[in-house]
Amino acid sequence: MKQIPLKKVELFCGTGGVGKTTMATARALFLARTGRKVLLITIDPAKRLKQILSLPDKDDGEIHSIPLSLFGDEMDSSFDAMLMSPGATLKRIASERGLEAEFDSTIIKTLSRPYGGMNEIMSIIEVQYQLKKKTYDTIILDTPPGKHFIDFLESSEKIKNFFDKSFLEIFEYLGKNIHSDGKKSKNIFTKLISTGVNKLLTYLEDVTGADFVREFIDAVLALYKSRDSFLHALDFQQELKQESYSNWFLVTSVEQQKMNEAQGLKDQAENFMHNDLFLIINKCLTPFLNNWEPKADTTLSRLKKSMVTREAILTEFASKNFRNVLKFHEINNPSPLEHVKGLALQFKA
Amino acid sequence: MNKITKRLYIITGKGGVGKTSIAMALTKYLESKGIDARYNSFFQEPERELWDKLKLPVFDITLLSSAEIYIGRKLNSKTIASWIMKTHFFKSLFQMIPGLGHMILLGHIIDDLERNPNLVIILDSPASGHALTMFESSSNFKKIFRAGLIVKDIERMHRFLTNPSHLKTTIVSLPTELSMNEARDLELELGQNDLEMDFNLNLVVNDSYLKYCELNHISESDLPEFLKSKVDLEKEIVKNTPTIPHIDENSQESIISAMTPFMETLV
Repeated sequence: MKQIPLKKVELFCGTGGVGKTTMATARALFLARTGRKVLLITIDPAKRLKQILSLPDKDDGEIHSIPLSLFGDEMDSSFDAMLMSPGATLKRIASERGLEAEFDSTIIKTLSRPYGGMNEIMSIIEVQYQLKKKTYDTIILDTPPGKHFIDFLESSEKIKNFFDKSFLEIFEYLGKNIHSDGKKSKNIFTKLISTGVNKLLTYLEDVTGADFVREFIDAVLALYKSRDSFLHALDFQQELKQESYSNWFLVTSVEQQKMNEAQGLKDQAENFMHNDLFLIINKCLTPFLNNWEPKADTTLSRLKKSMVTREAILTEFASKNFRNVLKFHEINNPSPLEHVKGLALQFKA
Repeated sequence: MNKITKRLYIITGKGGVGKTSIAMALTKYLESKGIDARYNSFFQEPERELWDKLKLPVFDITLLSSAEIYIGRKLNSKTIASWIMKTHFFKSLFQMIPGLGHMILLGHIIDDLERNPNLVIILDSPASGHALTMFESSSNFKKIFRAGLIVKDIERMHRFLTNPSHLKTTIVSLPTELSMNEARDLELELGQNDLEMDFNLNLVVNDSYLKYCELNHISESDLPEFLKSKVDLEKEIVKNTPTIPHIDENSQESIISAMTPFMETLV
């Protein structure tokens, strides 16, 4: 097993329930103990980080300093942590560009709620913003579970499509048409589009209501005015692909289904990942199973046998399909902080 | 069957608690009682191979085809519906507002439940954050759409869902402190909704070693320390919540089949 190299960005991904957030927090603790300045950002709207670190409610999007004394450390050090808030990021973009009034729309507000659809794009913009500040040696990203993670990776592609020229031509045209001052002279081509578009609009208005169509177009135009912030996010995708820039941690646990899902994520994200991809098998029982000697030919001996077999099969599967495999044993303690501490120690080994 | 079944079962909870297995096992259980129950994967990736292995009755429809059928029904024309679905406007609408597609799908499901009074649907619902948004979304959409056919439909959906005999929601948890806290938070949030909906909430704990020991007549004193601490913790935090035992099987279809007999508590 090779040493984990130090990088600017570390990404933790995996499907739900494998312990991604706890693992990412443990990594932050481990790196902070070595003296690095660390920012941990969780994009997972499940808010597990809030529970683990007992962060206050309702101020998402703000940076909290987490003293290592919280984990019982004596050293006077800390790391920073933040719960991603798409709304807060959007607000900053609006004020940077003086677009507060335009962004004050029901549609944009709905979109920028967690799960509203702009979460992934906003996260990329936020990470870039934090990287530009150059305050941190490492930024650790706890990404959303499963397919939302793929959305996260592909969000810059989405941005490109969203601001696609032909799309915008229609909307700019519609925007003018709807506010109908009709100043600009129209050539035959735009006239053709406009008749078609108007026909379509009447159908749409039947389904969604006329006000909605108007407001939606206004919202899209407002986003278009701040497109530079969005398009800038495309660079980040390129940077992530560089081995010198990022470490990937794919977290899974000792279940066949979870392992298949990890394999699936790896396949889907292959374009982004590079050699420094580490598969973390969480909640391994091997050390406990080795010390357990149930009476022969009992239900418990059969239970042990099937647990041992399961773990062996999955470990073999993992080392066949992944270059770097890290096994983390289960932490038998109800407290989330103890989990973080127990896992942080295992990064060392 | 002694219990009267509801029309729509929503199985929800955080990632990795076993929602999908439980939703499938519940579908199989209801089917075994002679009910026309069908599983819908909703936000989850469809696992068609597993459905085949289990011979699972499903309500299998994609978001986009559901939206197309829906718009077609509303405008009385399939051609116009497919035309609308191909426009930039709708494509970007769906891309930007993912909840919209799911709301239309939910509307579609309720439409079918109203048409066929014997049908029962089991929704494998998203991790809790999503589930909440899904219900909130209908009132959000009402706010942003205000008029038009969609709003009329949202009102119709609300009427269906507010009928206490129509809906039952099960929050699945694991017997760990973090998971139980999250499940209870979700229970609270759903209970305090201002949608006037009766979710008929109940909590169920999956993967219980305590129940596994009971069923297999294993004395706790024979357990090794790492399992004993699991069982002790479970006793402390689970209390009166119904549990589903740990299943000692490897393939997902055997796990689901072994779970099926324990599903009565969810009906």
